[in-house]
Amino acid sequence: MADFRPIAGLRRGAPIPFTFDGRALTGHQGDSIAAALLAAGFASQRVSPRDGARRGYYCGMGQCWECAVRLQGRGVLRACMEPLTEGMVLFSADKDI
Amino acid sequence: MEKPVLIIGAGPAGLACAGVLAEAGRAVVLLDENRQAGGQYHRQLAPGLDADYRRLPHDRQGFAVLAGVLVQPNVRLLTATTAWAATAPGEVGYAGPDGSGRIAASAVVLATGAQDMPLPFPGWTLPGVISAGGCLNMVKGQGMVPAGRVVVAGNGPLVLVAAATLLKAGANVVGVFEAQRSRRLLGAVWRGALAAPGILRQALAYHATLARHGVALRGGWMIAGAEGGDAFQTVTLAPVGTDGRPAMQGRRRIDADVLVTGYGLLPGAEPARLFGCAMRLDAGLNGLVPERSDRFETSLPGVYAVGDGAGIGGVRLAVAEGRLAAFAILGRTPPPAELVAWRRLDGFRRALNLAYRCDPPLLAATPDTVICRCEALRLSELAGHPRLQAGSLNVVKTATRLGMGRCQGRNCLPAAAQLLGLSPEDIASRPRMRPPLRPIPLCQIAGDKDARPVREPDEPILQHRNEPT
Repeated sequence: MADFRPIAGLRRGAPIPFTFDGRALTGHQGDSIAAALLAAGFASQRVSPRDGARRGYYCGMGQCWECAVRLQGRGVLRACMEPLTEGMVLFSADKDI
Repeated sequence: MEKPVLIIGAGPAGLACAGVLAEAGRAVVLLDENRQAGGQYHRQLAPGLDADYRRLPHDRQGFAVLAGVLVQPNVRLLTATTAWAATAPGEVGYAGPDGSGRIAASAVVLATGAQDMPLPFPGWTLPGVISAGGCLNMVKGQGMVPAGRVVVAGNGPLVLVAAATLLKAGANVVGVFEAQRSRRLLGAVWRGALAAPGILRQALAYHATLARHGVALRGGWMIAGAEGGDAFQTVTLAPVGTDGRPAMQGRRRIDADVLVTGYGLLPGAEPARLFGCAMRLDAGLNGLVPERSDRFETSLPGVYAVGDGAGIGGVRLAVAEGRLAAFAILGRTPPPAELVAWRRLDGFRRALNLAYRCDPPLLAATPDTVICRCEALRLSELAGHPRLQAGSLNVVKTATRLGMGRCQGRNCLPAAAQLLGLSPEDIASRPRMRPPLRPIPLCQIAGDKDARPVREPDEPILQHRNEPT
């Protein structure tokens, strides 16, 4: 499992709810969307629209767009560059990219 | 009112440059795509997080010195903001959540940092295969590490940095593999002892961390491929063959949960190309860089380039160049000691970059390997394309869509040129840089309060060549 965990001694922000493809999840204040998804066990954020293969967080600095998600009301954005906020309704960006 | 100096990138080079300018009373505007200043090296924990810093790699004192400039009244930092176009000489188009417009500057400083060098191998698109920079950002910015077993493999100083940082943060690193052989690196190490003893001490500390955890750094190994179903599960490592490919003999397989790969850093020189700066390839600087005078000015008067975006050299060199460019902008003679220190660091980084350089270049892609991640194009589709004979990366792009996805070619074009045997020296055959420099939402372009037609500067070299079509 390619999930991530907090480093010992990390003081995270308050828990905040969000959803990803309809699943109710909990992240924390201070998480990027990518960190919240990786901590929740979603190593893959989408599938490639060209060959259907699973893709996920890769470059972590806004270059590759592999971690792209669709945020309801905003459109497609890079999960690694965007802070998680309370009540975000997120979807995999498979067909939008 | 005097126009501000515009600095693109608020990493070590940009902040150091701003520091000298602000002290001299100049107005400064810093643009950065990230939410906080610091760049990749000085990436800070996101607001809302706090930590026991003994397990984290942050140089808090070093950052505090650089970031002090941000509280100066004559310095403005625009975060989450993209510099997307060179709209006129000395003018940059920016777009961000807090507004879009144009900034007319008295001087422009490109301090745009580095990017990972992509090395496509079978399975590199699997979730769980993460770039070294991306893994370090999870540690520094989010305080997180992979929960399971980690293998680190690549080529360059970042392999050692990533492995030591992960171990210190409590991750379970089960293998570390560097493509270059250790004896090739020794000469550069001796040079470092003279030029930059601080850098050498840090490298020794990283090695000590590995030793303390009983983890060996093996030289002369490369990734042959990664396997898994919906996510990465197993990596195959191989000795580097004399042809730069993974040897068939002596391979070993390691089961793990995350594969961290870093096959070197490239200068993030696209903004310089967009501006129309004259470019050149320099192996000692790890790739395509803007030509610079000894005042760090590019071929365009008033446009300066500093730090990793102008040649890979690390944080100390970036800070030195940022300060020296600021003295040049102010029209002042720099302190001689700073110039001497820069020359030493410049010599050292060239020696180190060349020592890590693999000759022949590493090649791990098979015909079935995805080269262009955005368009899911495999090597066989590119290598077998009839238009390849034109010998131009730009022709391959228009024929196949190579590099036409959202990463705008950043993750495929350097590797594709090498794999297809297209000359990397031939800058003219590369696709042009065009605005927007990064994908931005249309609403941000529509919100451009200073909108006018955008000038597209020709790269000087393109004017002298009839490209085959």
